[in-house]
Amino acid sequence: MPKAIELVHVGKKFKNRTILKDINLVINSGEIIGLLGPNGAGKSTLIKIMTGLIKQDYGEVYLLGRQLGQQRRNTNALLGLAPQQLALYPQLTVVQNLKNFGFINGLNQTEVNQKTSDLLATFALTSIKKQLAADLSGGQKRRLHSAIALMNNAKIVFLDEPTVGADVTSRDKILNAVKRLSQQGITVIYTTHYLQEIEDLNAKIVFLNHGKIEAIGSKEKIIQQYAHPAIELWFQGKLPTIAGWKRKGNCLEYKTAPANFPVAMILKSALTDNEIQNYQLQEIKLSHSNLESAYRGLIKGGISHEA
Amino acid sequence: MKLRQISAVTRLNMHLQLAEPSVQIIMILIPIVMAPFMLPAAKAQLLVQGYHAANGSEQVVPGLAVLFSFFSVQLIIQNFFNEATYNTWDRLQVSITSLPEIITGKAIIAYIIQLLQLIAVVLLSSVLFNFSPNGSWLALAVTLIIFSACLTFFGILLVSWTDSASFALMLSNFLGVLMAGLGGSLSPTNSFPDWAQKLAWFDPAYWALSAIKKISLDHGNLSMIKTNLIILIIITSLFVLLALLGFKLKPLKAGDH
Repeated sequence: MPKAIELVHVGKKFKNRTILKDINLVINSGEIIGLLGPNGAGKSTLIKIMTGLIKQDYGEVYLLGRQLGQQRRNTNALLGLAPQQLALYPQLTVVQNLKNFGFINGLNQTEVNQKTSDLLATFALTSIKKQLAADLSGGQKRRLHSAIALMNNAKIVFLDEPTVGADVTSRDKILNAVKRLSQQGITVIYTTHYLQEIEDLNAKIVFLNHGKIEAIGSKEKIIQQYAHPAIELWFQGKLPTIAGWKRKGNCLEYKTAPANFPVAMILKSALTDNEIQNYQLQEIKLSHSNLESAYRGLIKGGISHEA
Repeated sequence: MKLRQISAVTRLNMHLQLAEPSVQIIMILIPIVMAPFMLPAAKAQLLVQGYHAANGSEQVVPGLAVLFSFFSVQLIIQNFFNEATYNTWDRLQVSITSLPEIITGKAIIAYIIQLLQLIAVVLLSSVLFNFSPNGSWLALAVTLIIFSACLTFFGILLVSWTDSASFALMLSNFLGVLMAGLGGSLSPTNSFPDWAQKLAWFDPAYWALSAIKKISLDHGNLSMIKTNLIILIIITSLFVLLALLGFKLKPLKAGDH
């Protein structure tokens, strides 16, 4: 598969604070990349570098085989961006926002009309196309914000937390549009804090923390490597002491790697322990080996400072 | 630079301005509302100076038009900084439209607004206050065309050297009132102390107003205001050069977050 994006030893500092360290990454055409990580991990900075909005301190960035910064107009013609903050003109209508960005992106009148009508339909904006952007609901604004990013003939689309504040319907529309882009061979870089979205998109995951890529791979691979499924035993009053179980607030927790997680056996062993008979067990909770568990495993309880 | 991308930016900014025209309308109406209160005093002053046919509008109308066109510079400033406020700077920069094309497209709309405002005040005043220059209307038109360009690039210069809208607006209001006052918007410059009259030579408002005065009262034509126009063009060119330098050194704008 041809490379859409290649980052070679990319790094960035702000005021002597390292934001990104030695990032090496290859993204193939048509892939959906779920760029994950806690606040301040460097996700938005990485997107700004890949879109040429800020320059890296060292390393090289290639977009569709071209070094970033060279033939900027030609490269930008192939990029779509929905930045983290809503980026639209509140005093213009939905259609005016779309059409104007179409012209700014170099489309001709026919292309602008065609794209506008496609995107109005895709993002369910047709019925509100004459409304001012300022008068739209939060979800409608989010849909328009994402639609504007597609008002060109982009081959790579960057969507930085496009569903923040969107309702379920708006979120579904945005996710369906992303899936359709991938089917058309368009590469999508998607950041979110809603892990379910990454699962729904079946995206390849790039996990960023403290400015470094800490994990990369398919959802299954990430879960297999980093998820820590757990069993929690909740008691009324005091907690017993059972070998292999740790106290976590008002409960006992058993945590292990997914491969070593025979739930029935672990539970049987704990529940038949002599010690437990003298305590009042209230509830048993099972946390699965899912992406959220892997995410927590990757963060390891630490949150990096703000970028 | 591509003409097509400049026209895309111009089109976008025209839509943005037409969506919220209230400030432009106010900037045209206030001089018209204020003028009647100032006409009698201005007429008396002009009579003393020997202009027996003057009705006062020859002093008041250009003065107020120039004063309020300085206030309109804030529209130019907001035109740029609003892109940061709406978070649309990033979208524009990731588009195929280059920064010089964005600046040019915005400058064209800003210029048209400045020029239309001056023309509207002059035309309304000619109907309402019988403002009728005894000199060449062509010379008046050329003065307004060049002075509008000068004001546009004054606004762009402020944008280019500042990082935030609030600082640029503060500078624009302060320098605008200073230049309009020093140029003779509110009272004739010959009533100023010597040092202020000398300082006025560096003020584009002075050269614009003295040209309009010659056209309005002294039968002025293009050749009579040639020096004024040349100096206005030199000041405008200086603003352009300084603005280009400013954008080179400080391309990113912070808006009003």
